[in-house]
Amino acid sequence: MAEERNSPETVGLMAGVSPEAIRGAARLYAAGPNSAIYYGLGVTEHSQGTTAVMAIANLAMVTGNLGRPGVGVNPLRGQNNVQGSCDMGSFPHELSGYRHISDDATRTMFEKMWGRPLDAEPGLRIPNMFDAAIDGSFKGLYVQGEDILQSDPNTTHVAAALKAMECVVVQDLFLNETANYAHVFLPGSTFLEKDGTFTNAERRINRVRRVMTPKNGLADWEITLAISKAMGFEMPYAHPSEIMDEIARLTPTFAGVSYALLDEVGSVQWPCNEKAPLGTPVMHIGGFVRGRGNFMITEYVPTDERTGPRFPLLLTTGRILSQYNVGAQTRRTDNIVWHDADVLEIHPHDAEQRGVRDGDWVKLDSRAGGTALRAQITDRVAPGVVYTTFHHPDTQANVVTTEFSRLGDQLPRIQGHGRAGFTLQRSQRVAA
Amino acid sequence: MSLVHEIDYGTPVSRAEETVNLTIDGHAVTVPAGTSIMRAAVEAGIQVPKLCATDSVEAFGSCRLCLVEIAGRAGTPASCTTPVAAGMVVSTQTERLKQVRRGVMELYISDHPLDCLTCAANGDCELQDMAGAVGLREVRYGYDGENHTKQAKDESNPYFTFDPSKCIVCSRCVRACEEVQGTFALTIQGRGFDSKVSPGAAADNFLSSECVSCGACVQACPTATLSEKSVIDIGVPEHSVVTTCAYCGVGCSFKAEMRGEELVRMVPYKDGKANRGHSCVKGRFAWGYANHRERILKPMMRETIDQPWREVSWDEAIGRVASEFKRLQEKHGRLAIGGITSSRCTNEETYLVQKLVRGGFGNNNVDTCARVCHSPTGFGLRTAFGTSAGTQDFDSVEQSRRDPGDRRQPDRRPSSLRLTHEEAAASGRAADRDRSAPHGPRAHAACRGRLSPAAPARHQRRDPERVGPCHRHRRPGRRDLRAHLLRPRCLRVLGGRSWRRSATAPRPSA
Repeated sequence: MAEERNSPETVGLMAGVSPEAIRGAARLYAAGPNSAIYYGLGVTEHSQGTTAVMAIANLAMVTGNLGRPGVGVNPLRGQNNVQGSCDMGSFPHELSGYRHISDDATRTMFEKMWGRPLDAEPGLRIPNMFDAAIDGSFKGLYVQGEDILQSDPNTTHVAAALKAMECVVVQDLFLNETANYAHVFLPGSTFLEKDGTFTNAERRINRVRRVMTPKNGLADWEITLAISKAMGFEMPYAHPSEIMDEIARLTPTFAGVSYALLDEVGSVQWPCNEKAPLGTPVMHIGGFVRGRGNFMITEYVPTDERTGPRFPLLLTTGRILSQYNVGAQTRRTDNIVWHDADVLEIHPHDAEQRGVRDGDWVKLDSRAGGTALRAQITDRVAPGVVYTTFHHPDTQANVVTTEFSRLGDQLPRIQGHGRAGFTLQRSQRVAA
Repeated sequence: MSLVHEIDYGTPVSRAEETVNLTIDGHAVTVPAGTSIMRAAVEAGIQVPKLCATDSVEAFGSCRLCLVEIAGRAGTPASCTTPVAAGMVVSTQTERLKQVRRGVMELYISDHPLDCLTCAANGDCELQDMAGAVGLREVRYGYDGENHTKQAKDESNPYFTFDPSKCIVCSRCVRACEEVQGTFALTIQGRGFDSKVSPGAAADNFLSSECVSCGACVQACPTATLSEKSVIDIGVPEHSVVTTCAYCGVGCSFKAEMRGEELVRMVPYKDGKANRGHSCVKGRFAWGYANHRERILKPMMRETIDQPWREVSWDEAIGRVASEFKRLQEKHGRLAIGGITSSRCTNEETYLVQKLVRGGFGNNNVDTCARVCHSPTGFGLRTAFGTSAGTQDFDSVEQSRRDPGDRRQPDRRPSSLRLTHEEAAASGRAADRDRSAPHGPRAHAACRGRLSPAAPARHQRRDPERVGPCHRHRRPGRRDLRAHLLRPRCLRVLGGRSWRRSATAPRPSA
């Protein structure tokens, strides 16, 4: 920390923030008495996302801002159940509760409960699935409730991967972009039409309750059961509460969770087990779950995405209040009155250099591809940076983004989401 | 099954540790210090008539219905603005109070349309309830004088209607927009008889104003003035079920209010620990996609992706999936297929997909969209702390940056915090910590803290979409100017049409 390269003066130059501001923020945070950090995808959706999170954890630990109300590290999970889908072990290398698939004791417990032997080798991550598909070794995909073609970076690569597969099964409410490459489409159910639970950004498990019969005939869980049965792996559940009971039996952090408990108290934050029968609002009181906190040195590694004379601008992508993510749901409601198209926000200086006026169509190109958007002149973005949302498929914002995996072999590979070198020019609108 | 009933305590809860004993209508009551008499009465099972008070916002004292008599004190103080005191003896129903309350209701009804039977709020209207509660039998003023019963409606917002004819200027909407949401889109324009709710400048309607359509005002409105269009169309719901929103990571709890199997409206659930009775436009209003014409309701198949889709039965579709996956594994190996789970489906559903892949497909080719967003969080926090998730609950923000000598109550504004931070997340930027003083008296969650407030992010233009702090690029001068402009607004006279009242300075802020 005392080294020159980590001083506010050096870092300030790189970050575009004054050293006084850095010192001021540091003192404000450290002085407390209670300082909390909240962060979103602007921190994680980078090739340095993991180091950024660990740096945040370091800050909290070094200033003692953990283990009581009013402090802590608070990632703002975006989706209604992204926390839950991680908790449930939908990772190629982890079972529910973040336990590694190679751990014999854990795997044996699951094998006994499921009556099947399980592979101890980690499987393919999403980017690997695409690569393997293009290589010819990955041929079939069951996608539930996700539009990978619209939401993942480098659309061209994803499209090529999907095209190379022989059986793409999409389970969703609408014919989304991914469904363009699908062979079987299974209509899904909305949250109003099924029972279950969602886990929010504060680890709170909340009940989802069915208020109407599924218009498509089956709840999403019933569809997965049907596929499983047809493939010879019958799973005997009459109601989602039984699924949660099984999760509780297999997952120590969920051991105390049941629908009966949720009906009684409304919601619980995991861990919820014998040690914490009503859940755990604040974690790491008195000590960390892992024992002692782990400080990790987080060197600054500049992103490989760089601007240069050919691609002088940086693009970041984000979201807006009235639309949600790829807009699959919100574009099909009256919310379109607020945001019926994605626009490109550009600083007046950059606009003037290129002869771009407010409302002009512009063509945006990167190494990966190009797209066209209407420009909106604003000083909300810094000079040299442009910003757009990706709520509308015809924007194809992700055609121009690239994947940039995490540097460091033992760390999971993360895709950079945006932040590529870009060039921009005014254009006539090409035929839609 | 019936509508989930939530008690409205009238004023927010007090978190003081010390308690006070008093007597209300002969009942002994013990409540935390700082509780209003109105709330203490409700806790004792006594309903004091009220119109401008609701427990999601601070007491206001403008409707003059909740007056009580206190032994040893002159006059008829408002129970909403009067805190309890040790040994207090309160009467909520006396002859004098009856006369006063009837008089107040007469004034309200003298300037209100009398179309209850065809009104959207029939059966769900606090004005109706209060007219009944005070025993109103006649309105001696008659209906011939100047009135506001024929005003034009503002139907610009796609989800709710603003009908000024029914407005009693209780200011609940203005206060909800300030205190619950923190947007400050609404105000009372004019004074006295000319007071009216306004979403901004004279030329603004709700859609063109700073309103973010969160619906807090609609929820707060005691009459039909601010009504959901779905209620106007369908009618009052007959049963409700508590469920959770399917949009973002806040996970707001809602009461899904139904007529049979038809969803009438989603109303935030006050006991929802994540949202405490508030929500944003998406969860509250944008659920229509479930009935959209583009929704696919039947399974479909095709041999190759350049062929058109063919509708098939469930058995056929499922059969095809199973046989194809088996065939692909036989031909290309066990690892040739996989699954991607959803971050929007339930825990149980996600668990089943990974179980299908591991137990059914026999491999570990399963992944989730968190790969591209929060897997750094999972890995980073597990490495540092041992748990792949946030360390607190949302309420924790109320205790951030409490000065050790601060004995004031923490501000109960978790909802606007959640919108602050979800908006921050939505704009893809971390919620920066901002060093300037909070704006206005009540804009922000944990006012004692220095959190980035949601409202100032909109200072740049009147576009509710441009949310999300962008602090690197904010010029200090503008922020100060906005703070400066806001204070005079808060000092404006706020009051019902029928009563003159003196200008009230806002309560001192953090």
